[in-house]
This record gives sequence, C-alpha cells and structure tokens, in this order.
Amino acid sequence: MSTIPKQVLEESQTAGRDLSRFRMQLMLCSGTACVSSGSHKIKDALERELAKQNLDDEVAVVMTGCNGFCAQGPVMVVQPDGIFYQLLSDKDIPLLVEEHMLKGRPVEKLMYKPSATKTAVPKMSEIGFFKKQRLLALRNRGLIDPEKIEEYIARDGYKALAKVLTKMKPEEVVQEMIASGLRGRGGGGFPTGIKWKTCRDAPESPKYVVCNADEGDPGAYMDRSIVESDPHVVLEGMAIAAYAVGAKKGYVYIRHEYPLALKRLQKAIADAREYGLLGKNILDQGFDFDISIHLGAGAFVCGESTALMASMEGRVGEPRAKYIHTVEHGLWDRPTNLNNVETYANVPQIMLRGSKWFTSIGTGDVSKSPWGGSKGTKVFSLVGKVKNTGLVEVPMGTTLREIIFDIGGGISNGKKFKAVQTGGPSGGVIPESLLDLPVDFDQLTKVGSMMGSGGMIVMNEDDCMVDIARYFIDFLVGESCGKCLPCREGLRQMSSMLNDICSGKAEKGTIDLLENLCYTVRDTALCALGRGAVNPVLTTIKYFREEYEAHINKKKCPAGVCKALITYKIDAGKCNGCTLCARECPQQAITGEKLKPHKINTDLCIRCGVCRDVCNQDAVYVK
Amino acid sequence: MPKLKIEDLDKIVEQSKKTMSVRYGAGRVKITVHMGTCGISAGARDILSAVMRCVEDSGVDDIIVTTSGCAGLCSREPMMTVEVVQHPPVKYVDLNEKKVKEIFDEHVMKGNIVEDYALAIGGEQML
Amino acid sequence: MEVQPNDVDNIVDRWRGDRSYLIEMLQDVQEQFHYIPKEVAEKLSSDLDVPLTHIFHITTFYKGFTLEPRGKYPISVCTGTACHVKGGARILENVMRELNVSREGEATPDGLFSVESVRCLGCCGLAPVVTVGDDVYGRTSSTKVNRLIKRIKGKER
Repeated sequence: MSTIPKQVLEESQTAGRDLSRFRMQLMLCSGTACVSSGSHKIKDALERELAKQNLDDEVAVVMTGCNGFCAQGPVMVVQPDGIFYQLLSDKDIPLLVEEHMLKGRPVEKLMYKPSATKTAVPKMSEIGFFKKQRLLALRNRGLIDPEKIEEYIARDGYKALAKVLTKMKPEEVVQEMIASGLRGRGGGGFPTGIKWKTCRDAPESPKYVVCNADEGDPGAYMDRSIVESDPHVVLEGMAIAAYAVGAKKGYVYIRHEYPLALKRLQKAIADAREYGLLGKNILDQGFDFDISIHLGAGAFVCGESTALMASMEGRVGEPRAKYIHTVEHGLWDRPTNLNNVETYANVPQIMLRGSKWFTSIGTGDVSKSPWGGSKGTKVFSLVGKVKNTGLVEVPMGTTLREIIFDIGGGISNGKKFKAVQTGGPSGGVIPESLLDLPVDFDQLTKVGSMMGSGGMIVMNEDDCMVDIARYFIDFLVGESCGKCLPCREGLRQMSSMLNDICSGKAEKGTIDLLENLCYTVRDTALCALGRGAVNPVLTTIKYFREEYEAHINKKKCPAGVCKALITYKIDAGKCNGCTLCARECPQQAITGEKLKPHKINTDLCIRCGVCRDVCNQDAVYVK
Repeated sequence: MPKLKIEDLDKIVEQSKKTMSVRYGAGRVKITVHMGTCGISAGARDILSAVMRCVEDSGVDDIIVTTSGCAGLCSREPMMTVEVVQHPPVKYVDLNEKKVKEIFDEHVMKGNIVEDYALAIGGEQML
Repeated sequence: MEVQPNDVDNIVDRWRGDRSYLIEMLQDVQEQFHYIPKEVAEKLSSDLDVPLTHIFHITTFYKGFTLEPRGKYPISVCTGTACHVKGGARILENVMRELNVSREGEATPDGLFSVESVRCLGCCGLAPVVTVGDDVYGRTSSTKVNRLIKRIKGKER
C-alpha cells in the first residue's frame, strides 16, 4: 500500500475549496504513473464536460496521490459511490460524465475489474437494501462517532443553527418551515411549521419546546436509532425550533427502555453546553437555550402529547380533551411546541438547504397548504418476515412493493407475502393487492392504516390476521389509561370477542358485533389511542374477512397460529428420526425409534411449538 | 473548552476531517464498528475487542479504530466498515472474532478485500 | 437488598424534597432496589406529604415500576409486533413453564429468576429478542433461552 506524499495531499485539497458542498467528488490519480499515462488530459476533459452539463457546482475534480493501481492508470475513484474507473482516455469522458455524473448510471465498461476469478464485491448502490434508500434524517448513520461532537460538526453540524441565528429572523424560520411542508414524523402528520407558528403567536410566556422520544409503537425503533447514532442533530433541531417559537427551555422525553440512547443523549447535551451550543449566549449571538432530559416511566399512552406533558408534570399520563391545544396551553399550562425525534432531525438540513430543496422530494404540492402533500423522506423500521430487516429511509411516495421487495429483499424462507402492518397499534394491515401504493401520509390513511411513527411489519402466510388484531387490542387494553369509558371498556370487550374467535368459541354474528363496537369506540374515545385502536381490527376484517369466518364457522385457523384450533404433526416422509424433538419436548409427547419417523401424541401435546423450532428437517407442521 | 463563536465551527470542520476520514487524515486505515443497540445485542462489543486485539498484536500505529451507530441493516449485524486510504469503504457483515482476524490480516494489513464476508463497497446515498 | 434508613432520605434530597419530582424519585428507588418496597413507599408518602394511594396510582400506572422483588436474573421477553410474529408470545409461555411460575413478574422460589413480557425493546431487526438483566439476546428461541437458564443455574449452584 502506498502512502500519499504530504504535498500531494495538500494539493488535493484544491486551494481551500470547501469540498463538502459538492455532491460528488472525482478522485483522479495524479501519481507519477498516471500522469505519464495522461491523467492531466483527463482532468481537462472532465472539467470541460462538467461545465457543459452544468455540473461544475455539484461535482468536484480532485487530484490525488497514487492509489496503487498504476498498471490500470489513469485511474479515477468516484466518491461517495466508491466506483473505480480504469484505463481512462479523454474520449471516454463525455459518455462518463453524461451517464454517471448526470444520470447516475455508472459506466460498466470503464469500471475496474478485479483480476481474481471470484465474483467482485458489489458497490453499496448495487445492494438492493441500499439502492433505493436516500438518507436525510439518517445522513450521519454509521459515519460519525455519536459521542464526538466534533464529528457531527465536521458533517455540517450546527451550521444550520449558526445560519438561523445570524441570518434569519424567527418569523422567517417559521415561514421557511411552513414552506417546506414538513409534517410531523411521530404519527399524526401535522404540519410542523403551522405548529411552530401557533406556538410563536401564543401570547403567554415562558414557552417550551419538547422532543418526544417516547417511541412506543411496538415494532418501530427509528427514533432510538437516530438518538443513538446522531444525537446532536436532535439538539440542533430543537435549538432552531426554540429560536423560532421564542423558547429558552427544552425537554427530551425519552423511554427508560433505551439506556444507550439515553447515555449518548446525556453526553451530547453536556458537550453542546461545553461548546456554547446550548446554554447562555449561544454562538455569541445572544440566544439562550438549554435542554433537560425527562425519563419516561413506561406508559405507551405518554406518546400522546397531553399525556406526555401530564407525565412530565409528575402526574399519571392521562390525556385530556384536545380542544385546548398544547401549543397554546401545554407544559405547566404554557405554550409548548412538541415534535418527535425524526421531525427535529429533518430541521437542520431544511434550514441549511432551504424549503425549495426539501419540497423537491416527496409527493403532492405544498405551495398552497402544507396539507397538500408529503415532502421529504420517511424512516421505516422494516421488520418481520422480510429478508433484510433494518432501518430504511426512502423518499415519500416510494411504493410498498419497492420497500418490501427491492429494499427488504422479499419474504424470507421462500414464503409468500400476506400483509404489511404500518402505523403501530393505531395503524392497519395492508394486503397484497395494495402493494403498489405509494407511501405517504394521505395514501396510507385512505386504505385504513396510517403512517404512524414508521413501523412496517411484514407478514407471510404463517401469520394469522385475527391473531394480529387480537395482539394489538390486547396490547392497548394493557396500555389504556382508563380515563374514558369507550377505550377502557370497549377495548376490553373487543379483546374478549377476538379471544373467543381465536379459541373457536365465537358464534355467528361476532364479526358484525365487533365491527359495530369498533365504530362506537372510534367515534367516542377521548384520545388517539382509543380512536386509532380499531384500525387493526377493521382493516383485518376488511381485507381478510374469510379468515375470521374460517375461525368462527369451520373452527379452523388457516395460518396455523391459534393454538386451540391447530394440531402439530410430523411428516413421516421428512423426519429422519434424529430424536431431537423427542428430547426437547417438555411433555414427552413425542415418541419414535432412532432413525425412524417420530410421532406426536396429540392428547399430551400442549402446542408449544418447540418441536417445530428445533427440527432441522422442517418435518413438523401444523394442521 | 472556550465557548464557540460562529467562525470556530469551520475550524472544527477542518480539524475533524483530519481525524475522521482517512482521505484527509493521518491514519492509513479506519475501522468503524457499528454499535447501536441492535449491533451490541448481536455481539458488536466482542467484535470491537477483537479489532483492538488485532491492532495491538500487529504493532502498527496507523490504524484508526472508532465506533458509530447503527448502519441500518440489522439482520446482518454485527457489522464493521474498513476504509483504507484512497480506497472506498468496505462493509463487512455477520462478523465473528475469527472473521475479524482474517479481515484484519488480509484487508487491513495487505489491502486485499475479503470477499466472502464483504457486503459491499462504497457509501450510502445521501439527499 | 435491605432498605437502609437513609436510602430514602438520599433520594428525596437528590430532588430537593420537591414532590413534583415524585416520578423521578420512584425511578431512583426502582433503580436501586429493582422494585418499590412497601416501607419505601410509606416513607415517601409521609416525607413528601403525598397520599399513599397517589404513590400506588403512579407505580401501578407506569410499567417501569414493580411492586414485588424481581429475580436475581430478571428475564424480559419482548412482545413487540416484530417479535410477536416471530413467536415472542410462545417463548414467554415456554419460559414461564420451564421456570414453573404462574404469572409474569413472579420470582422463582430460589429467587434466581423472574420472567415478564416487555413492550418493544427496539431491536426489531433481531426478533425475537429476550433480555436477561442487561444482556440482550437476539434471534433467540425457547430452546436457546432454556439452555441459558440451565447455564445460569449451573453457575449459581
């Protein structure tokens, strides 16, 4: 491996140009070997073509030291894609610039091909999981050390705050936020700018900004990941919001189940204070703002704004009626601006690059009203029965099919897609027929689900839709605060009906009764927890009614999940008699000779599923 | 640490680039272990210790070892990124201590990407 | 852990005796004792002049508080949606059967284990997930957890 001579390195910084503003950098080798094979000619050709395509503002040509592939020279590496081009000639450049730099399609015939016979390692942009992702809220993920404030600053951190404090009036910040069309990423999709404006216009003071990091939707962990991998972006977003609405004090309400996120957040706040990015006279601009952490004590309903504030005031987290808005009468009855983690994470880039840039991403038209579309990106936690599980960030308007099949790689273990659940316990399930739905706030609501905070749980043929509905209702029965009757008693009745269906005890007519109860709860519950609770039930009935009917009429669970309606069997053709299941069975219900097919005694079987878990031959099945 | 003024931000940007990226910096190789909650529960702490041990045993002093948050692809954790100066970063997935040793010997010390364990080379696409 | 006379005083002092920080004080108690001992709740009630019923209201409302001691190795089985579709509920049932406890949160007679469900831990990419104390185990199964329990039992013997 050759090292770069110091003067070459310095030269490569190209006369103090700020390279960070370029979207792409062409690292052209100017080592002795490459120069002798004509890399200066390539440089001239590149600059000419870039200017011709109006790309010279976006793409920088950087001369670097020898990169060691002298035999392939002239050699060029395109950053950040990391694509090698080799044996370049100036004739290749027009095509290269047009195809790769302008249209984003790397030119294969000019690419470096490793000499080894094995298949080459693909580029990040060729990996399905990363190909369609575009990072905005997660732009620092995996790149910076979250516990080093300098690394955040090096990636343009706190630059937006500096810009806002020196160049913009608070009113202008609010206007810019309204123009961006950013809508709350926590679930409701309320326009952030409108919230800021209402809070700013409220006459009382002091005002507060609060960050909701009480991420409670089961199956969703976007906010945990943002706080863990990039805590300062949340602080910067909050500071900008505080400047805009006129607050001096902020709080982060974070779940106690997230110890690592909490630790990194505490460190980030301490570092920001030390650097004068929080506290008095921030960046010497006369703006005061500080942030404290409030640790949640474990209640799903505290994700609801009024409940969250009640909890912060030391009371139990019971929501109140929403006709009194928290932006006007929130924490300690003062105007309070509450946004969630991902919303704040979007703020610095919007301020830095402008609302016009932001509105170029996403769906709809927000020029007249922020409700006119869904702008920017959304982070989803893509989990469940999908091959690639993880956190994905895509532009609004990406279809479910692209997310699940292109990014997620489709269904794992060769199974068939059945449904995807979005929006947590207030969302719904979406069937295969709607896979081409472009994902944004309004489209998801139209099909009976919702964006929610971004959980996306993929299910296959082995998942019972009645069981899923029961799961969410049981979750919410446990989390209902009990203040209003429709939620407290209504959900309990729904749970008992769903449990009857799952255990084969339900009678004909239960589905209609269940649906009617859903409508009543939806129309009368006090807060979104109760009102949204019916969505998992209504959507599963709407799209998978035959599955409910099978449970009730035929006493069968077609997916083989509901314990009371299934029996475990061993496929004698597949069983190789390894005895593993017989040894693991807690009931000693499995018998058989070594190397001969085994059998399950259904009278003893408690349907715990351990045999299926341990079987290496996939011989245990459910009927 | 004195409180920052606006112009100090740019100075920090310059200074940090040197330590953050091998493209600008002193090190020859940067190894990033991805340590979010997912990564840690999949065993990232052991991976980090294995990397540190490799560095120690090799006796070289031009390797930057650092940690970062979740890289997004939880199903392939634990993950690490190896970036050799003048080469794009390479992401390795499904790691264990044995693989780390092999990657260290081959890629970090000799510059040969261990294709069997590598997921991809290059960076993610930003907006 | 035995409650010492000044334990409660220290916690109350940390929050300057301000009863609006009752939740924070209770979180400190939970952190220190891993549950809210009855005598601590009573002392907080009299020191802060807060009705004991109010303390019960709070400690039973929030899932972060428990009113009975947990085992030395508290096992939490994640029952978030991703873990649910990958069999989290079955793991919970199977572990409870293995430990022979009849309800969540109940400690085994030897005081070693307790098991309970926990709402999403945010490790959905590694579902199903189980934690034992501070250690997180992803992509687990009933059999793996049972083996883990046996290993801990062996170590403690």
